Amino acid sequence: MTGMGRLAGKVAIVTGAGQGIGEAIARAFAAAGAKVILTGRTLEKIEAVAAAIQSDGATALAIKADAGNANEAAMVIQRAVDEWGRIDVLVNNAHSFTDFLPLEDPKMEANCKVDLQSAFFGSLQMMQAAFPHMVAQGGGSIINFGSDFGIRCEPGFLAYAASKEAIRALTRTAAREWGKHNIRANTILPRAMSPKALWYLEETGTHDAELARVALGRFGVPDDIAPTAVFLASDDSAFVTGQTIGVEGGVTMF
Amino acid sequence: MADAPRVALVTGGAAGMGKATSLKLAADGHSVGIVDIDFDGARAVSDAIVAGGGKALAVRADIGERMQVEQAITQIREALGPITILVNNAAVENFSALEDLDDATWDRLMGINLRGAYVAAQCVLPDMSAAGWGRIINVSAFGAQIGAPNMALYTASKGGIISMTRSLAIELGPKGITVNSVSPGFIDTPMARRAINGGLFPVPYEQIIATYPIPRLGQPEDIAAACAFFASDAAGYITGQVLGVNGGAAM
Repeated sequence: MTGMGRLAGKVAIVTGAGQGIGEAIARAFAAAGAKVILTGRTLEKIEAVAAAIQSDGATALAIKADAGNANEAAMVIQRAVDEWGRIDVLVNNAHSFTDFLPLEDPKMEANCKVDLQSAFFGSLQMMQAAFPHMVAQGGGSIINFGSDFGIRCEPGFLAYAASKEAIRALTRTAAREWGKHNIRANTILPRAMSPKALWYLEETGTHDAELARVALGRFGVPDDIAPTAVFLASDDSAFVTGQTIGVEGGVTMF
Repeated sequence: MADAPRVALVTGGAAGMGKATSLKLAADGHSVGIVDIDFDGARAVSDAIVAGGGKALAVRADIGERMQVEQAITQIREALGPITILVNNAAVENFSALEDLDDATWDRLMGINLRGAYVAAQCVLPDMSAAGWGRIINVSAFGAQIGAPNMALYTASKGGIISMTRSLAIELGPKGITVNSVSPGFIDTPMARRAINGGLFPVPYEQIIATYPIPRLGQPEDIAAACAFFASDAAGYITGQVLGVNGGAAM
């Protein structure tokens, strides 16, 4: 199962590609032969990733865009079409998440709106903007991100969990409505520890307990997640749609 | 970078999804042991792999008979080496209304579809444990997830496969073994064609697949690609998962 050429000829957009999982997916897509557009809030970060991809001889383009801004979503999609004439793969990874907060906190509603705007509405906006192009070209693959925290509903993470489950509903609805256009939509539940997530586990004294729940005995890294995105982007998964797949070492068996 | 060549065992590898998976794993560079009750069919698959420059061995066994499974696996291990990829694909179908089911039929099917999968996993476990690396891929069915009339026995066996997948994932994770399930939808296989031609669906199958988000029959190659993905190094952080390859028929 090599990545070589499996995405040759495809154009992919990865949001939130300046670091972590988004960066790993953008690099893996490029290594598999796709042309990749990277979006993010911080231009320097996505430009650095794009430069690294280009120095490996692949094709990448960095575009500054804020997830959850409909105008910027439309701009990114238009740019992809202008540059390369199509959008085969859309990866909605960007998510501005809020901090741990108990349900009864008066700031909860505002927090939920932050998560939903960037991650849920951000995904919806990109999908709506990409839709006519995917229909016109005869299909596409949409990869969205849920979370095992959405399934498990861990205390203190309502805003995150609710937005992630909303995204799963969005994904499955797209699978049903757009399947007839040969547009597939699937959800990955990733587990790759960001520095912030690791800090949180240490701070709350839950690191060891959390690690004990992982059947494979280690926390994931972004490169653990990327191959599943390549599979879902490729024609190897032509009959896979509406599915939720955990890439999380065996914590939440969905 | 390609994965290291390994030895895979595919049960029910003579036809349909098992045949396609055997060919795909061979194309990915692995040696393939093909076990089936249909020896001629299994032999044709192994001949095709060998003709293409790969390594394969076909062995006849009834997956419902422990002794035969043990002997077949021993033979494959001796010929090809320690087995670190297992695809539990062998299964038989049953279409019976509840009032027509009998205990012998129940036990016989469960012995192949569910017990056979555990027996095969148990037989290859020492190889995987010794390697500190293993991939078990259990083929289930979308009917186990959403139900199907006159298929209580078959879907119960496949539901058992899904539950066993999750428990073994937790149990075997510390040994470096992942356990996942590919859950096929309506796939164009000899088994599905028997059902279609036997008039076992209440409406023409074209009407059934027209309701699916991707309105076509799946192909054995769709299943093979998913099994090969789970078998790869790239899928090393995935375990206990059930991946539907069903055109959106079950989400």
